[in-house]
Amino acid sequence: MAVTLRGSGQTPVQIVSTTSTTTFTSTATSPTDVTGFTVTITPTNANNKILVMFSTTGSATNSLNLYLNRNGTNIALGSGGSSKNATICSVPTGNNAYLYSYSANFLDSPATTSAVTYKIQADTDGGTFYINRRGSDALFASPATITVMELAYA
Amino acid sequence: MLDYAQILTVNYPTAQWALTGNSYDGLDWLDSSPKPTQAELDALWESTQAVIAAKEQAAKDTKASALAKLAALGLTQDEVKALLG
Repeated sequence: MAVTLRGSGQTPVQIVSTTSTTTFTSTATSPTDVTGFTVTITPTNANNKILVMFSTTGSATNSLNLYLNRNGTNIALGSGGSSKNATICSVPTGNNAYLYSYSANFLDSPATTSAVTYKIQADTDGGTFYINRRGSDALFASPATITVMELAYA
Repeated sequence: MLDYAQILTVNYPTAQWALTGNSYDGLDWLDSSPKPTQAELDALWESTQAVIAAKEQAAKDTKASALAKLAALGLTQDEVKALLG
């Protein structure tokens, strides 16, 4: 979905959003693309900012780390983590019967008028992680949503 | 319904893989070991369910045993509840 808005100053210029109801399960220990969790926006002005917002649910037998990636580079990372620096680090209880909610916002400055693709990657420090479902069964399902909003910073 | 995520988690816990949705076509095998065939995975569903059921039962048994030991020490159910949250 894409919405174009009009205005000046620090106002929304356009909004693009993707929602995926596809489940994703993996044992990957390095950042791996979560299928369907991606959105592309083409800024109208290189000075404008992009507000990135994403949310999903998931669980893990050990840990689940989520990464915001812009055009192949991870951004909005923590620092100083001896194991992981991610956008969201989560160490659930080890009981994958629980379903957790994850969300984050990040104000990005891509400084371009070319298409910018944001995607969410995920990994674990061991075991299995689950996106849009819990691990113990498929009784519960929810969507993953990533929305980007171009803000005029004239 | 057959659950490939469960089958893979139980039977290939150390392999690297990614599964989109719940179909064999969505399985991306990231590991150096050979990718299991759909027939091999399908054949593991029954034993996987048994493993999961056994784990769940073991957890219930452990909890019941712990509660019984606490009761034997004289703790009331309310006290145990306060202790465990």
